[in-house]
Amino acid sequence: MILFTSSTLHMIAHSAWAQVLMLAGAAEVALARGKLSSRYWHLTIALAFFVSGAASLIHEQNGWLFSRSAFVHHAMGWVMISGALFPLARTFRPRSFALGAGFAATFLVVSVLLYTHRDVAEIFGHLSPVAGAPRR
Amino acid sequence: MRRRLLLIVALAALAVPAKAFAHATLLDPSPEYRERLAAGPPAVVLRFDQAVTAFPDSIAVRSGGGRVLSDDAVGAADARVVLVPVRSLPRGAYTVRWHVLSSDGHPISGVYTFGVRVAAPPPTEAFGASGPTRTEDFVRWAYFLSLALVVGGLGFALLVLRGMPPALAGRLYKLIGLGIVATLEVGIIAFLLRAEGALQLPLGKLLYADLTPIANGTRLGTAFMAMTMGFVLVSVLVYFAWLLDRIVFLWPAFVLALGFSSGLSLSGHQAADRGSSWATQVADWIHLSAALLWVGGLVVLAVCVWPLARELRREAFCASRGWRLC
Repeated sequence: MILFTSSTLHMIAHSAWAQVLMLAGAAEVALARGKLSSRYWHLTIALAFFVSGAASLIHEQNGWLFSRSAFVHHAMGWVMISGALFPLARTFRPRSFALGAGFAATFLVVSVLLYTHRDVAEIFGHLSPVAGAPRR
Repeated sequence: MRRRLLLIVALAALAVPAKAFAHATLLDPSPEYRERLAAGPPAVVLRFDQAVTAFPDSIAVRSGGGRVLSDDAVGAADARVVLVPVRSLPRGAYTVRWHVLSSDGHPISGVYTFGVRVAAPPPTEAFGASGPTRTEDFVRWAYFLSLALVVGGLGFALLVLRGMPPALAGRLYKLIGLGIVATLEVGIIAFLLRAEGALQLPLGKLLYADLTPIANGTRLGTAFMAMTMGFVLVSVLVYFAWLLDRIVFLWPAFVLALGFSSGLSLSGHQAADRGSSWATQVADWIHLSAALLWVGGLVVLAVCVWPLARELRREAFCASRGWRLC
């Protein structure tokens, strides 16, 4: 979480992202095991999605089409922020099929975006010459 | 077997996360961070990962006394490179302060040191760096108290209570958990304050400043990185102990917490003082560990044990003194 020291902004964003995801994961496992019982603990997933999305957007200062990295950060940020609505609503309507499917789809889309972030996945190509050489 | 294989693959995938980049990042400075040179360099050259805009004052090389020994900075044919010619540098330590405009429009800055025939000081002791401030002293105390909650809480549970009595378990886990979260957050604040002291930048520019020389080139940075990762591991072990009701996880958590607490000692004055040796550092760590156990144990007594022991409280404060209010 603190290994991104290329700038203060990176460090804070990655740290916030890592911490909320750890909290959400811990809460979900504890709920499944019965150590926690309040359904409101499910809200930690919505919080994790929202904070992760916001962190992704805030620490990407370039426009959408600056580079693949910039595109993925913007896309992932908005997907996670909008995807936070599914676990939020699921807390109150846990049996809804649509909300469950939306929740699962968010994970799927984020996974694909994370994969395309790597330079070995030549999906978006190299968009801007000022972005420098592609990283491997 | 298959489940084990899946677990190993999952852990390996997590160990190599996708990197995230946005604004320009300094990739290759010459001289390098804290490099000790046999002779002064003809120029300081900074290579970034993206195109940057340089200004005449983009790079300033200063002597230990603050004298500027560099000319105007110029951009190279490669838009990712900025360099500044440097006058003949005699033996001594030098500070490089730089700032360029990233192609995303944000000013990015940094500071580092190098030495000519001497060891370079850490960037936190670069020319112009300040601190530690009173705020940093306060944060350091908060760091100590956070560590005391973790080490003292675990020590009290394992060494005094010999386990987690059901009546106390909830409060104890909450207290230890609070200590772990505080350790992580206060550690980040302490590191950023130290970086601010070295970089001497207003908040707007500090957000885009390069922290790498401070993270990798100072005792505080190394201790901060190790302690943060160490206490994440401690949090996982404590979580498993709580989740599975297995006290056995608390022992490695306790040992790790004690071990990683040494970062507070190793990043402090003791390790830098003249005459310091491995023996004095071990002594300082033992001293720190004892203080953490003692202070943390007292907090556990006050917050966890005290509210539940009504009879003992009455005996201690009322019966012996004949108070009627109790």
